[in-house]
Amino acid sequence: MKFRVLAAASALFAVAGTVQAHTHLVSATPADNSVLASSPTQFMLHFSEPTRLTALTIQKDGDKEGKHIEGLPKDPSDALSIPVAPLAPGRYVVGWRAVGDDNHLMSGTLHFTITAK
Amino acid sequence: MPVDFLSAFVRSLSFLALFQAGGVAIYVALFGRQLWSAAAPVRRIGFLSAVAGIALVSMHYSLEAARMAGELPGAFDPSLQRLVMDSPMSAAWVLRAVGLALVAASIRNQSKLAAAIGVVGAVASIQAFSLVGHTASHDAHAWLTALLGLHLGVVAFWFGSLLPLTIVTRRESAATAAALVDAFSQLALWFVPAIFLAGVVMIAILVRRWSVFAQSYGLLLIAKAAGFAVLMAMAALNKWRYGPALATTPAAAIAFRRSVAVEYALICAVLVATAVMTTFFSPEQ
Repeated sequence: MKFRVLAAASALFAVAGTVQAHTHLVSATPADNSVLASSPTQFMLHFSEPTRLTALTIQKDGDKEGKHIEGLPKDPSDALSIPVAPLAPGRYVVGWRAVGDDNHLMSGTLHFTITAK
Repeated sequence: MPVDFLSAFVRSLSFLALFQAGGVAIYVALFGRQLWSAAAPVRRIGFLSAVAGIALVSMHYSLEAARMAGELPGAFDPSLQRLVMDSPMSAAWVLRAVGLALVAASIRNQSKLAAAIGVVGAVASIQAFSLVGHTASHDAHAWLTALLGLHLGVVAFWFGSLLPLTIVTRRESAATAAALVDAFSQLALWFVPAIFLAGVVMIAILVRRWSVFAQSYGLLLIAKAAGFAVLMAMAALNKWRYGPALATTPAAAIAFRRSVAVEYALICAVLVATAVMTTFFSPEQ
């Protein structure tokens, strides 16, 4: 009897879920570990599926903490473009967080260097 | 990433509370009528862990917007809160909270209907795991949902029964304790291996390349499997050595409780490892 109860309870666990694709970063501009002759005018993030960017920070080598970049795109897209104010020469790390159509929270960092003129 | 670590910590605690509550609900449905002196404290554990579980899953849910922002103040960002609300996470949170509420509402009632409601609550709170993460997004979602449900359901039964079994050896007569431990062991013998089997099949479906076992996600999977192997050894010890001695040897109860305590701690470690794994890593990383 108890075996049947437990077997029935186990069977109850077999319920169908939902189907969603899995998203990942395909490429970025500036590319990771790139060296640039001048400041980029925008950051571009290309994802495999439409993605919503939820946070973007930039920190220069030597700064105590990063700064949040405002004006992030509100709508999901597989190609996200974010305008950037001119940056002084130096090494930078950009931190990003994004949520794909599959609601998977992703994060990553990009490093690039702007050489002094 | 302090907010990520906080989220993983809260998620870990919510796992422990949820599986404890669900497991007690299943245990009480199976063996509740055989409990006398242990009945009240066992049901109290179920109630308290269900209430704690509701608070913890809600806290974890509220941290998701903060994780999206990468900082705690993000929890108060209306646009991020809306994003979380529109995601399957909200459905999972509701299902977990409602499931745990059903457990809390029914666990102290000794009727068969209350026991059934408790089991439904346990199933609901555990099945919520299939609404989010890689199980939900995979092409083989139907298979993964069934496998995950079986995997987690038996984990809940096993983990959630350990504290009640400890209480039984303290509060019930030696003969009753021995009978209850034996009854649990008979069921566990058939169902607990399903945890490993379901886990192996899920790994085969989710993991696309062997190199993942050299990375963080894979290493944590290996650690879980190793923990499970140790747990099976301990469970065998309880079933074939300490359990049968409970009826005749007073000292067996102490040895049994010590062994169960180690089992409990190991399962906690596996649950915490799973919470960390699913917070920070994925089969694709």
